[in-house]
Amino acid sequence: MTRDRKSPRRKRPRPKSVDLGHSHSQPNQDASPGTPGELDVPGNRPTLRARFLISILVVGHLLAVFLPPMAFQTQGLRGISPSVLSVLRPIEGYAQFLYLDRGYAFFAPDPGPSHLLRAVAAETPNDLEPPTLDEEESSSVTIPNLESQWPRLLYHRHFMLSEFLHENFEPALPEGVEAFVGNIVTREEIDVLQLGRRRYEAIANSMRRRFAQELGAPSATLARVEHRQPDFVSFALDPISLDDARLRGLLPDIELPLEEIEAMAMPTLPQPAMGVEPTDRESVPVPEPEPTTGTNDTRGNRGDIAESSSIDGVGGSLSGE
Amino acid sequence: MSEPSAQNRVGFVPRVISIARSWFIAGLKGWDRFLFAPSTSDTLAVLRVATGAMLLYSHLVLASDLMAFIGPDAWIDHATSRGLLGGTLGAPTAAATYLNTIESPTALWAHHVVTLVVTAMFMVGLLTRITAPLAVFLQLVLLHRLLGSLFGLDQIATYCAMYLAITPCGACLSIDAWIRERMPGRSRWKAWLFPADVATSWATLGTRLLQLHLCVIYLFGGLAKARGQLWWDGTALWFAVSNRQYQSLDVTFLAGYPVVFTALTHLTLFWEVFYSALVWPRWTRPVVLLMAVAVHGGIAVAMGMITFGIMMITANGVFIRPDWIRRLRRAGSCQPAERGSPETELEQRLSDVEIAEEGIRKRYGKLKRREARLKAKLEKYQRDKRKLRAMVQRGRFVMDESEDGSEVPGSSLDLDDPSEAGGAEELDSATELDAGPIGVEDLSDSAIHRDLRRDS
Repeated sequence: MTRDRKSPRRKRPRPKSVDLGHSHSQPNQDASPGTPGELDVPGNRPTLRARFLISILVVGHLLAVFLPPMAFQTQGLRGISPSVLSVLRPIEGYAQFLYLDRGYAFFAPDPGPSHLLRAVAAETPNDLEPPTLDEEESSSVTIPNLESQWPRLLYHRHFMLSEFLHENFEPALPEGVEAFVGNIVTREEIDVLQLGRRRYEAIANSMRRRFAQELGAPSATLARVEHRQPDFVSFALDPISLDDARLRGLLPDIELPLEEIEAMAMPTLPQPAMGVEPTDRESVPVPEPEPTTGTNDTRGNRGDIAESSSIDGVGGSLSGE
Repeated sequence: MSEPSAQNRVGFVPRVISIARSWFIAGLKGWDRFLFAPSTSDTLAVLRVATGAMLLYSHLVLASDLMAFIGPDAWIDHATSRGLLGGTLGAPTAAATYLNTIESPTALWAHHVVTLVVTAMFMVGLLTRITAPLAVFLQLVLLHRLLGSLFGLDQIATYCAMYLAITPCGACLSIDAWIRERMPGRSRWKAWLFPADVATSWATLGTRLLQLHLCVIYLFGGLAKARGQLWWDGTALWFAVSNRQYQSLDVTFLAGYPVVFTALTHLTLFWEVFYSALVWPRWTRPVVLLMAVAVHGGIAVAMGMITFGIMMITANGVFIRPDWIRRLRRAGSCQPAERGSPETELEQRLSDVEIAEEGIRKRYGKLKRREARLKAKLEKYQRDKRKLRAMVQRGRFVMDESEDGSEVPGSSLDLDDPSEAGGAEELDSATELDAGPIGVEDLSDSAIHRDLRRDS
């Protein structure tokens, strides 16, 4: 006797149409009728194994998206947070190649002044006479320059170049800095400062050569210019032009003072103040000790207990990235 | 209070495990639905056009002074670029580019022309499967060479293009869609190269990645601002609009209205910090997106970053439902049976089903032929079995031929036929073809046949 075995046809669950703006906790309530997602067409949805592998790649990619700005924010005087750095290291190259290693600190922490570059033609590379702020100075050019750089995107690219040089500025080390190595600063700290200076000089020299081409001169000297914003109170009381000369200033390329190198030996790491009477302390009520009779109880009031902490502030800077 | 019974204590742990397990499974299902539930590419197609246009514009502007930015003697010349990226002037990076090794201006121009062409093709949706990832690659190579002159526009345009490259963003509003409708015949590679305008998981995946990336951008943008003083005392907006190098529209009259610009400052800060949470719920998403239009529109109009403002508004459009755009497409088409209509969509989807089942059809035909062959054998066995049982019941077994030459019952049996010996096993394996299993009783019938032959 044969048995007519017919296995019940297993119904494939139909995927529901997706509302891409919703979180996954709100299913399909707002899906419009006839949304094409209702038909599970073979080939349009990866297999379970493929979805598993893709999910692993997605998690790795999201780490590469999240960790670089996290590292940027967790950078302090001790460096980047070790917990963040340990996870960032394996995917750092991937993030760098895909241009994901950004901080997204647009106009953060505070909008600061903008920085321009002024260059003046020079006869020889040894000519170190810096340019002045006089726009009428002969054979000089300033970037960015809205009058000569159009469209606005081209102007903005030149603007970012001038900001780039300013961000990479590192003052030159004084001649006597070697004397401080070992007793005040370490060799590594000096190397970092010297590398920073080399980087700045390489960028500045590259721009100087470009300026010379632009000016049609054998060489050029350049200077950084800071253009500050007026305070809104004084501006409201006495409006001035934003191009007012009082708002501009040359930033000289000076050496790092020896005093600042000496100050590098002082502890500057964020930590609670020790042995300093706080000014905003809050007194903690202490119960009166019970009277003792005939014992050598030396207990007394513990006095006020207070603590204070300080967090080093972060300097403001204008950043387009 | 009595101590909880041992039974209750034992039941608590399994209950916790059960809850945790169901929570984990629900999370997996939610993840799967969030990333892989199929969706259409309408929003991505619009994003493709806008992103491609912005990239093309950026490359064209760069072409107006190409050598000043990527030439051997550019603002950041080749040697400095190699030093900055290679590690001699700082930490080594993986932001590699071959452009800082090409000395020939002709070669650099040729490379840039290729970049322009590929980007234009990406924008119009021609061979999008190829031009989209290629446009991303060329953009990255250019970005790394442009170190020092980049800003927010380059970031957001690159990210949009990057996620579009993994989606079928050329399925509609593209030349690919036009070609697909007019292309005769179907094949797998054509279906891949000119993707159908149907819901796919890849569209959802690319959309989600861009949405999550935007959330990260705004979250850290807001947190970075929260570390400053001016964003808290409300004056940050003033110092932004009074920056002469950014100013494109004079709004310095706001200095006389500190209540207004401080409120806008605080609003911007909180919007940015809470964007990643408020953009997902249905009721707050429109408000968040409108704020994005206001903030980035203000940046575009008042702070001279028109390209950046437009690109950020465009990127926020990834949160718009694709079916809304599909409805707009249908409303914009004159004929109801044009592309995008339900009838056309069904035809396209049926066509895709046929392509996908081509291999299955071949196997199906083979199995059907085998089924027919086995059915014939089964019928023959059943016929012979009936005859034998009838003979056994009547108590006789005749082996001689009848007078008319027809085969007598029992003589048609070829009990020693080797081809019949494996019949039972073959029938056993054909159960999924409605052939029915051949059970033990059938094997015993063969034994009956052999016994009867010996007796005769």
